[in-house]
Amino acid sequence: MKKILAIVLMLALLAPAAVAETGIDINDLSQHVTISLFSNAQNRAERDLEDDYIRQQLQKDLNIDFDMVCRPREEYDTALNLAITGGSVADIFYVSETQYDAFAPSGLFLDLKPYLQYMPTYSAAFPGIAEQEGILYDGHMYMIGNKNYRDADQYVSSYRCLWIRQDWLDALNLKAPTTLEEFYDVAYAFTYNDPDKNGVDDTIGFSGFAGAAGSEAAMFPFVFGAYGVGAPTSYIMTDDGVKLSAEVEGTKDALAFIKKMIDNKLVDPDVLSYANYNQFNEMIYKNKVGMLYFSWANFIKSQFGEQLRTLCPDAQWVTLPTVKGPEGHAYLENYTVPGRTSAGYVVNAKVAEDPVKLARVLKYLDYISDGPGYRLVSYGIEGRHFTVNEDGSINVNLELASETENGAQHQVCDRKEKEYLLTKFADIKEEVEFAAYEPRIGDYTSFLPAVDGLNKADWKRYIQENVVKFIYGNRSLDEFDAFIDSLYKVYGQAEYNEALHANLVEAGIEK
Amino acid sequence: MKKRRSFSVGDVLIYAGLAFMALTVLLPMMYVISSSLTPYIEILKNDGIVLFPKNPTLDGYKTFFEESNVYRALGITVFITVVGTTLQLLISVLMAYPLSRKDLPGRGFFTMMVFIPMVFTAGLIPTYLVVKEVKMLNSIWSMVIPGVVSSYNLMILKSFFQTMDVGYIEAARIDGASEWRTLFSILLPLSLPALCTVGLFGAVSYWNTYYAYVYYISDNNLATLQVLLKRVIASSESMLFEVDVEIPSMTLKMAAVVVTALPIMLVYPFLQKYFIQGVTLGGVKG
Repeated sequence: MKKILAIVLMLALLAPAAVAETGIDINDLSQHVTISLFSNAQNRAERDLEDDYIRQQLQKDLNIDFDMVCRPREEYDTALNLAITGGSVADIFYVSETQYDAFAPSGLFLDLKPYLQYMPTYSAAFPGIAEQEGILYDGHMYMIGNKNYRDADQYVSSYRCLWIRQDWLDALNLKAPTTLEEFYDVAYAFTYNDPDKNGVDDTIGFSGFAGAAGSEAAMFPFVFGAYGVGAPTSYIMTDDGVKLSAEVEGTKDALAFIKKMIDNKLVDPDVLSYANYNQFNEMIYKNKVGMLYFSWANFIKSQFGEQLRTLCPDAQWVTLPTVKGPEGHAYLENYTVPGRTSAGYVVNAKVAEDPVKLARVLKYLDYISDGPGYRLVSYGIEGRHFTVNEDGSINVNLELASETENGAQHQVCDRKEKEYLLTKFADIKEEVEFAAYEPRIGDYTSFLPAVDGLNKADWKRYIQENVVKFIYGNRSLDEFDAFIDSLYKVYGQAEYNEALHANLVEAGIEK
Repeated sequence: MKKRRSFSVGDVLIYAGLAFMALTVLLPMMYVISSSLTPYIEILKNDGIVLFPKNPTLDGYKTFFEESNVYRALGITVFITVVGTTLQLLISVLMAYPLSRKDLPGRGFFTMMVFIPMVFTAGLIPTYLVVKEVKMLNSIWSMVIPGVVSSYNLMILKSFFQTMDVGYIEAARIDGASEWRTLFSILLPLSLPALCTVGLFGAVSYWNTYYAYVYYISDNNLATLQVLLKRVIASSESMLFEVDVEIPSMTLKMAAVVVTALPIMLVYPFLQKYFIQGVTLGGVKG
């Protein structure tokens, strides 16, 4: 009797431990579950189920009904705020920085940290993610991993690079420039030496587009890079720690160089006024510009490439390695050093109230983070949209590419960017790889928090406006020091520096 | 002998000004229609501006009809326009007529109840919560009911009914007509200008339904034409990082604009006579 009692007591003590160890089984797909996703991916609505091959397969693979709602960005924020207010938000949804900061303290998001142990594929795809300060909010891991947390060799920060007309170089018997001074000389020759041999003075040396007009990315970042600095509103690493680029030696020289180009009319007069890349492409198709700073994705990829070949059949655009400055520096542009991840996908905390749904959501994230599920959301259905070679590389069926055009709406765990681009755009692999590996200078602005009493947008705008004034001669470069003074006296530069430094110390980047 | 009309300097200036204003309206319309019929490559070859299509194509329209759920969206939009406008007219008339009668008890109070929402609104979130509580979320009725009473249109109708000769109502009463009969058989037929004006305002508003969809609906099947149009235009604006998608060309975008705007524009000529009469209805009389 005593033996039986001892055994029963022992089992009673061990049972909870047994339950805890086997608590969630994400591979139990016996029950049919509905999972909902709400996002603004691709800035467009989701496809109907019958046209969405990826969703159909996902539903089969995971025994789920996958209710997906995607909205263009302009509709999305309002719709999400209303859904949160009304208590009817989806199981997984995308939040912007403002929404993340507003709702994170309210317990709306699920902390994924305790559940990482049940997601082995996810944990392997995002190695060490739970220890990354950037993704934690007060120690909680609310954000689903993105490309910043995947293997570093997969990271691609932008699709931009410099481009040059090889046919114009040949016509003028010139070599591609390798230094900033050579770049100036080639731009001069392209502008004044009639490279298209039509007898009319109608060509221009350089233009560029990288985003909304007036953004710092549009302002000749490779010129700043040639002087060893980043865009004026960025924070870069120097020998004295991380500093605002505008204050670092080299910025004034870069501005002087850009001004010299503009004064000598080597630059497209509309360079700061293009509202979108369509307008920029229309300029390129006029066949009057010789060098560009532009993205392959909007220039030579698929439909853009066809337009370019049709409208400019004689133009031979080739990539141009980033030119070096007087002291040998060469940075094409900034790349963002991932600081705090404050926009991305989160899981609704209510999901945890239903153990079956919770297990399925964890399975979904685990499934699409790597392996067959990752290939499904990245490339489509194996055998139909892609095949896998013996060496593990992937061949995409380009004829059916339109069937998986909406893949990005399913890439909730983001993707291995380098592998993805080189696979999907194999026909322009060289240019994709070239742009991915151009030298870039780290920008630590993502570590800059909002500072009470100061307006970051005003600060940024002030810097950008003055950069434009300096390069167009509306303000003399002799007043550059006065401009920096204003940043400190009026726009709280010292407070920003202090706040940034504090975050960098916390992140272990500075002491 | 035929007298030739002489044009003064003032006449010339007036006609010149009107011609200029007409051009500012006509030229963009010509640009939109012409671009919708011109292949994108041709538009690019002509520096982005084509007023008269040289090699017209219907590809933009074909693509828009094939790739978007245009027929469904058109059906949704027509439904909410017809039903919404009808309900709006009915409800507005049923409230405007009694408010126009000076002998209505509590008239001042009820008029204030109509006037206050013209000036103040509770805001989006209370409205959303009301729509949610009455289970209208994700229903086509959420694009009809919340906006069915327009205080402004109601006040226009009330002002119009006030200007009508009281003699009609008295004569109808003497002949034994009920209030319903007086309203529907006598007053409404005389109120066509007002009804057409208010109806047109309402119809255009319902035809342009966009935000109601954004706020209350997540079902793609209930998208209206304006939502489709917005998505066609928006989807080409963001693509710096969206490498996979095919971008809608200018031809497709303009075709979408024409398909969305044309039906409601075609209504105007039939109601023009009443609309011109109704333009002055906003004025306060008596």
